[in-house]
Amino acid sequence: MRHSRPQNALEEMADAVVSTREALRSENTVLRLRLTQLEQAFRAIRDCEVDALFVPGSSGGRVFALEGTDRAYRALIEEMGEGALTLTPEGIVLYANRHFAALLGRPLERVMGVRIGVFFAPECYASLLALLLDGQSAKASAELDLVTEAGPRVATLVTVNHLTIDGFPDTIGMVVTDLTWQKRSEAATQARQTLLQVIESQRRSEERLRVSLETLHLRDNALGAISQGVLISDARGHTTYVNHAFEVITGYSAAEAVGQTAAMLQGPGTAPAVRQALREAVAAARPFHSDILNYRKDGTPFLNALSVTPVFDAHGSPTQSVGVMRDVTASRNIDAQLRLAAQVFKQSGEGVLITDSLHRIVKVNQAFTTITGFSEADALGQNTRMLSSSRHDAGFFRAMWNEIHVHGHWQGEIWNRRKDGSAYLQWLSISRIADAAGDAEHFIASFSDITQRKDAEDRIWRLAHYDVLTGLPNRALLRDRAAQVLQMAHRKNESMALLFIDLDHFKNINDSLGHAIGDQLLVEAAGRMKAALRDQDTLSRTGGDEFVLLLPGADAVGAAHVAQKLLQVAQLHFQIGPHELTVTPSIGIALYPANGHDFDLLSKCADAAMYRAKQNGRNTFCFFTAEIQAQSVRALLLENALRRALERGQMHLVYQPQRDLQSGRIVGAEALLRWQHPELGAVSPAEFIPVAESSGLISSIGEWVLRTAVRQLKTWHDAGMAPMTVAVNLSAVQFRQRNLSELVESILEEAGVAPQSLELELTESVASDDPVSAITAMNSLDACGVRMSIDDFGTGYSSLSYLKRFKVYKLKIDQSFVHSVLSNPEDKAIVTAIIAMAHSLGLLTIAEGVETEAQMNYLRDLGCDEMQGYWFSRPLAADRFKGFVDENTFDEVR
Amino acid sequence: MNDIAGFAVAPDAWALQLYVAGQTPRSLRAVANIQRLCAGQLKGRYRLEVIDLYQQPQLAQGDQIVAVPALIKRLPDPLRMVIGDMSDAERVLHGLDLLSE
Repeated sequence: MRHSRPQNALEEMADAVVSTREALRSENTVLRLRLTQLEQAFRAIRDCEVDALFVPGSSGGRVFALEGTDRAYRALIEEMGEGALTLTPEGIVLYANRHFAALLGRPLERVMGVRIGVFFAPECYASLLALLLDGQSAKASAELDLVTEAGPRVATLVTVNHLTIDGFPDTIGMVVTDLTWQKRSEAATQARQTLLQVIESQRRSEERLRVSLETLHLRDNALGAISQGVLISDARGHTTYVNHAFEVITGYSAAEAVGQTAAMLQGPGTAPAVRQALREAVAAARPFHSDILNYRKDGTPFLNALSVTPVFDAHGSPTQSVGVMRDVTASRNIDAQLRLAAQVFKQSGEGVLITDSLHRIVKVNQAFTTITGFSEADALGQNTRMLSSSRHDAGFFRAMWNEIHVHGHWQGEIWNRRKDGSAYLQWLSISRIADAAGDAEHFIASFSDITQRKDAEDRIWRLAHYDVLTGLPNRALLRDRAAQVLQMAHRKNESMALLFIDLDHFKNINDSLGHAIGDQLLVEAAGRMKAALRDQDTLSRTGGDEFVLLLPGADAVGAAHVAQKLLQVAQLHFQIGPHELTVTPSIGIALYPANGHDFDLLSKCADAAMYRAKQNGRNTFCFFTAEIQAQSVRALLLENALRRALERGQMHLVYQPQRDLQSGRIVGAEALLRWQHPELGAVSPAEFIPVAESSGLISSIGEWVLRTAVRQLKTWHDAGMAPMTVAVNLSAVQFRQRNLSELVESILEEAGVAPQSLELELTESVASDDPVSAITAMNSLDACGVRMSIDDFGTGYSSLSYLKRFKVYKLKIDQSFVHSVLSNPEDKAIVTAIIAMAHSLGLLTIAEGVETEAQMNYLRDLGCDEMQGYWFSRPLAADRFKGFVDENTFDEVR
Repeated sequence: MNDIAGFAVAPDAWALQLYVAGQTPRSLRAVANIQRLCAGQLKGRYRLEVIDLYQQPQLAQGDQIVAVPALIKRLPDPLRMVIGDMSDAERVLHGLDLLSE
């Protein structure tokens, strides 16, 4: 049937096959090569040029030696990967190997002896036929489709050789190569290539993974070694990792922590705001840095300096967060304390400065600048001396630093200096801050300006001790002062006076003119009274119109004198606004020690005395006791009288002659002051001289005496009297006058009398009270040529050593010794001793008060140089003196 | 022509591999023949490797060797294979593209 197929149909098919073949040829160069190789192999085998055949297999190639054995040759054919056939010239299969049968999917026995054409697709018949009929070329090949037993086609390359095999001429050899396999092989190669690439990339991944693992391991070790706790959690906040430090800090093991959330560390003390902030930061994948109070496994809290950082994947989605924690409980406490201390330092109202061991300022605060005016820049590096005022001496600072070095601390009041130079009082506290070795490292000084406080204290003190209206001390201060004055008087064996002063009828002024006028009057009166007093006196206002006055050292006379003065100043008119006012005080006086020894008793006495003064008609003063009262009244009377005594010519001098005991000649006269008052009569110098001294009248009286005596002497000289001296008594007050020698000189010069003719009699006490000043005064008097003697010698306590240095030429033996020189052995001994001593010092002696001839003779026998006294002559008036001298000159001659 | 896929290939660099199976008279003859041919035609501009498949059978796998002695021309392209004892010089030269048809 197949043989009867029409020829033109085959030609058409052949044309189609040719065109297909052209297309396929170009695609199968590899197959051609393969075919060429196979052909070569066949040729070489046929030409016996081959040693062996090589069959590649899945478990390595196998080599088949040929050595001409057909069996091995057939085995090769059987084993080869191509279909191999031999055909008769008519196309009948003589032989086919197993592979060809396998290609067709039919048993081998159903292949052998079958016409070859049935195995190929019908459209391939033409090509197949052409191959088989082509007797010209040794070989030909074409790609033809086999049709398998089951139906599917298999693309093959068919090669045909015209051979002579085993004696059969024109045998056709055919090799059928499965192109499917070839294509599959290409795919496989492709796949294998891909696989290799996959394997390679996997290998690289594994390498990277290994490196990553190593790095990870290293990092894990590092994380485990650091002191900060590390916690890694996944996107949902569950912990996936914690390091060793986390375990140490929290007490939770890694196993306990993993899978938990960070909330496991939070507790009742965790601030809700911080907790919220942390939750929000994690939810929003934002970094979080804050201190948060956390709790350990054992429940103890700790302050956690926590930093949480989100980790993002390649797409920017948060995948994890890493928390780094640090237990800062201890350091934050210290931080807080330091911050607090710094705040205190900065904001303290007290000035604070810190110096190094060399007292150089290293730190100051704001208050320092506020108080001192020195800025920080002014102060830093400077020595603290810059702050010193000059109000404290070196001893003060020595004591202060000594205290600091011994006790580490000093505090007290100190005057320091501001930048503007003004001094101010500060309350200063200095502490020494030593290092561990005990060496001073720093000094801390804190201080406050207490000038204002001091002012306030002063004000309070003044309020407590002074009367607000008059500014005079009040009763409290008076009591203090009185206690002091009494103590002093007791110690020095002095007297003192306490005076109560009340303004008479003051209440009337207050009631009629008002308190303002009354107050004003009190102020004025107080001012006037105070002006009349000495500095050491204390005038105090004790209430209303009552004043109390303390007069240290005052006796009755002194007190009376002051009281008199106060009455006088108060009596002057006061001009208060439109009012011309007078006040009349009543004064009560008590004396220490006569009336009492303490302030309270003296106050009562003075108060009682004042009451009596008011009874006595006011505007007067009263002593507490009658005798003192009388004495003081007399003293005041005398003082007032004395004031006018000179101008009224009530004073005169009398002269007592002084006789040389050896020659009997009158050698001098002692001028004696007499006061004859019209009402008081003759007043004794013993009574009025103290009054003159206490009232200051002594100066003018003394000067009058001196001048009168000197002039008298001149008169006598001019009248032809023999030269003699006139002795004038000098009071202690006069002797202390600074211009005494100038005064004496001018009086002598004025009168034209030689200085040697004047003898100044000093009392022993004048010289012994203040010997050094006395020597100075005596020296200047001696320099002008005036002679000096010591009166009443033996009654005082003259120091012999000073006596030697006094420029005196004569000692006057006191009349008390002379009086009983004959009857009292003690007086006799004293007089004897005085004369002997005077002679040994080169001084003359004169005895005064000689009343009998026996006394005179005895004194002369003792070696006394001169005498004066009633036995020889009473003091004589000036005009009678010359006559007496003339008479005695006659006696002398006689 | 010499610039293939960007690589400069020496025009006279020949890489040849001769596969044999043991020390047979044919393999020896093949080595001798190919040596003579290369010396005459390629004037030393070649490298020849002789591979014994008994010793290194795996080396033949990629080249689809089916029978030995076999000569493979690796360079220059294209790959060529000549099977036999290389006694027919003309055929060998033809197989190696050294003679044009």
